[in-house]
Amino acid sequence: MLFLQKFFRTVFLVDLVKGLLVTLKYTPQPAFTFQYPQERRPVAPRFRGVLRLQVEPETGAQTCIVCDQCAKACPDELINLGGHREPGHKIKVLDYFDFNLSRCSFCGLCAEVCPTKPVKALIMSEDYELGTYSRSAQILRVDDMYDGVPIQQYTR
Amino acid sequence: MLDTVVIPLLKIAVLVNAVLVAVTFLVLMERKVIAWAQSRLGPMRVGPYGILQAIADPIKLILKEDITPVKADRHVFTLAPIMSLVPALVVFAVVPFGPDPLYYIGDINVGLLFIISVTSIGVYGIILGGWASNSKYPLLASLRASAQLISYEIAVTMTLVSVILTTGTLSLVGIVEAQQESGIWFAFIQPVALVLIFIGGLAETNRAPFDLPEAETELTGGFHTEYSGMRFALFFLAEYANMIVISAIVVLMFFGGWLRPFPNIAFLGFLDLLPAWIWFVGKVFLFLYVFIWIRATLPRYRYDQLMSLGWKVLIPVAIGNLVVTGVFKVVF
Amino acid sequence: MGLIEHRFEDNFITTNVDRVLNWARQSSLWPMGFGLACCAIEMIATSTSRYDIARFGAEVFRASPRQSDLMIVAGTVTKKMAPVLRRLYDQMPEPKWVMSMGSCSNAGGPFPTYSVLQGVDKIVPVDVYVSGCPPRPEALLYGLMRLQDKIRKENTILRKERVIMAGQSEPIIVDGRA
Repeated sequence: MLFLQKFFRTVFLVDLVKGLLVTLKYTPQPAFTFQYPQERRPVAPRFRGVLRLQVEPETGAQTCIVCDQCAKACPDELINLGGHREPGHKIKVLDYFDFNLSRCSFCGLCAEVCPTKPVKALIMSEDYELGTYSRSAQILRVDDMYDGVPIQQYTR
Repeated sequence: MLDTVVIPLLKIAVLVNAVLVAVTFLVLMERKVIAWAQSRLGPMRVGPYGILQAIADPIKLILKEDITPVKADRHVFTLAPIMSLVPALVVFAVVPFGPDPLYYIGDINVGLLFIISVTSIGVYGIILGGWASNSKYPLLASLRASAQLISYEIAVTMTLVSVILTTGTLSLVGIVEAQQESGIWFAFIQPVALVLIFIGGLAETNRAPFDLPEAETELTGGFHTEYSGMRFALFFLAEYANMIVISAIVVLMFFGGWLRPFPNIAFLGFLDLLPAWIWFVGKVFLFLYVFIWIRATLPRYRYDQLMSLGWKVLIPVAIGNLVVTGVFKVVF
Repeated sequence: MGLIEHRFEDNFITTNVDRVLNWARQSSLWPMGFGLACCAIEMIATSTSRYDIARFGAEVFRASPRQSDLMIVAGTVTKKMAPVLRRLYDQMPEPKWVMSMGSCSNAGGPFPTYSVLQGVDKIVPVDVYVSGCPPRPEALLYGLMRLQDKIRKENTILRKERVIMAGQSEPIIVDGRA
């Protein structure tokens, strides 16, 4: 009996038709695709994008205290920063903050050790659109690092 | 002069261009249909809904660098893609798109035989291309192609014989007219033959699930691994033109060619409002969809499975079908 | 060399022809997936239903370098793999582009070691570097669009042979041999 069943399944190509029906079922269904440049899906809450420097939201003052913790924490030594004391300023003034993006593995150790409160100076942002034409463009200077720096996005 | 030279030449020009354009858009259709089956969108950004993809791809391929490997056999390497494309186009000479002579280039009384023999030449393109590349993957692929095509050719031809027995003619126009007379498509008289020819057709056009000669996962690119640019595009065109040929054969032999459904039932006469060639093209289109649908569904056969399916299943069934058809023909 | 490069002077017609050709080239970038490590998984994810690289006409991942236009180097390039990569690049027909995906192929990533190539641009001219470890599929699509921008501005007919910048390259030593 079982043999006959199997025989007829094979002869009438039952399994083949079943498979074909699956693909046919999915053909008219709406696609899962979201069309990236037009619609941008929100990233996961703990997503680690490119490194960004934050400023005081109201005053726009510098929050980084040039403590060099991030540079020490980086396992690949990609961060290089420096500043100088200036009279009238409680904290060091940031002179340069070079971040070598090309090697970064987005581990987030630098942002984790950043001690400033209540606004964290160094964060992993949600920006991931990082395509450059050259390697030198991958070394981010301090001006490219501030949060909210517009990145070239495609809308079309 | 006009009837023997000018008009046939015009028909040929129109047909060849139509086939080539159809092929480029068939590629787009394949990409779109497979995308839909996978809940994707397919080409979207090149022109509205990706329509212009069918134009961008050929332009790009034409302008690509045309590489001939140093150790390749130059002449055969150049000849191979042409050998595979030309037969695929030549076959259209006997494919009737409609009942009156305007719709076909020639109706020869051995039309079916002509199609079988000419499409078989196309295999040489694949074999020579693989051999002339002087590289191991194309060579393996061409060996596979020759083995596969020989074994499936037998089954398909055997099956065609049983259809010829039913109709009593080799002319494609004659076959369709026989269906008109009997008032029923041969798909219902010869269902086994339909399945056999369709499976054999899949194998002969190297389509999934029988795309072993161009198995990307095993043989990089199969027989066209070493081909770049337009020569590769020629192989591509040949494959899709062959798909159209097989669909046309299936439609002509089993689905009444240009006939509307139920050709003898009078009250469906309003279906005749559509011209005959639209019925034919529509049916061919339907079968091309099935080709693509099968590709979107089935994984590739293993080589030994392919061979055992061909020799142990299809050929015995084809012979059995022939015998049964012959007995019916004698008894009734 | 391609079919028409280096044959004509710069003039009105060539610039207009350029526009059409560049459009065709940017619209059908057939990638050669060079998946080497974890970036390969994201590259595969880019071709899945959610992200669907097919929208750009670039889902045709050719296995053979002869038929591909774009090499996506996705992953750590070891020095053993470097000659293979260069060979495959040489086998690709002009015009060809290279996209370096992820930190490892950009600069060696977290592996500043004897066995890892410190950036794939030491052996092939890279057009777009996509950062990330690995980059999100969207980032890869972004890189693809950056490349399309670059192709659109290209001078197709007067295209120059691309070489690796002098000074950027240094001999790669595999098993003590260069």
